[in-house]
Amino acid sequence: MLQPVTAHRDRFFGIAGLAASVDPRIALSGQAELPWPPDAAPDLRVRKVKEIGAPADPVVVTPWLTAAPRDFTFRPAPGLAFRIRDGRDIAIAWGGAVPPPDIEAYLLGSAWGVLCHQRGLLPLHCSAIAFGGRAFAITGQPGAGKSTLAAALCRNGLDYVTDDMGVLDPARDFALDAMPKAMKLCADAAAHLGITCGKRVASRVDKFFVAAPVAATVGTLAALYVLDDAGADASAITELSGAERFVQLIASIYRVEWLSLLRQPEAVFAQAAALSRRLRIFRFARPRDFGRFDDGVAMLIAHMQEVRP
Amino acid sequence: MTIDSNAVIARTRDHVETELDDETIVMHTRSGHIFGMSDTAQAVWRQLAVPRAFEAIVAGVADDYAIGADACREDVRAFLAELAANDMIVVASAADAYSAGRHP
Repeated sequence: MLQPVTAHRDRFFGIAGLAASVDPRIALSGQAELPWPPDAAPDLRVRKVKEIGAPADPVVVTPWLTAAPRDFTFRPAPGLAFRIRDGRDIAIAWGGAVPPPDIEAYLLGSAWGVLCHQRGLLPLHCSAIAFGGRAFAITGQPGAGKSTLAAALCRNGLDYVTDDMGVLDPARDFALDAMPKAMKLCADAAAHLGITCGKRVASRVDKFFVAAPVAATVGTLAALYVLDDAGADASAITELSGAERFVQLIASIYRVEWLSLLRQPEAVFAQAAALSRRLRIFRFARPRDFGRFDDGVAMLIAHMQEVRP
Repeated sequence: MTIDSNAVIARTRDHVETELDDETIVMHTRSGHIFGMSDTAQAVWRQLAVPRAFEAIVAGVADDYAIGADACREDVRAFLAELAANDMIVVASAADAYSAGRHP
């Protein structure tokens, strides 16, 4: 009797709290592979396709982004395209010239962020570390130094949780699911911290992959630190309140610039309101020169020791 | 925009709000703009829980702060103009409001 022959069998991974069935032609490093056969149906599929197609009723059409809330496509680099549908399906098309690390970076970055929004999750653009069993997130504008600070905190004995994205689940009391992926640092930051640079990040010519420590598993966020990228004469930590706290929380949402394309504003507002009532948020200003960098790191560690919910 | 003393003012429906740290946080759902309101601004916004005439809003704020209406009228007018500029309220003449059945 003839048996059906398949060219490949999907691999199963646990990624940021979700079970993903992933086409084996898509390289994933650092993700937790789940045993085969899986215990339950996956939360989503990640597929390689020849063409991603296009949404039927897009609300925005640009050369690199064509999107409806439940059917979102983007083309982040020549020859590379993603389509994310209903929070359950990520289709990827790529040409031969696209390096696998770039595919992984965009899959576990922008594409995963879109998927989270479609699922009603709240992804934050942050690095995170754990200390005494509690997680602390660091957010800020691109280039503000999130990864550098997280790497420095890990060099001081704190546990690594995530770089770039942490996913909060409102249905689980805003539990934090980390996105384990390679840490990226600027060359001067890596040199200051004594960390060896790996390959250059193709999408960011000024950044390099570095080996991240094993990620710790944590429950909920204890606090969020917003990096003041203006620089300061001395390190200082101030707690935010009211509208400023709320606005900073909204600004820390992953791919906030796509939010209006993906979600009802009322729903995001309600989630942010609920989270901002339970999460302490601080502004961390510090000098941007490495000569005084370690003083700021020490101040931040001392603050984390004292901060209470 | 100048708010006339005879105007009747109502919030638009395009907003969501919450209370946080003694402030009222309001988001305009079409623009995405977020406003934090405290003190007099918060008092004015609360007066607008139902459509009201301008002088009724002034009287309500004055009552909240135990001051005379003249002491806060222009502050209230300026804040209402700011709200109108951000499409947070609609401003109608008293005649228009009555004809629309929205009298204060």
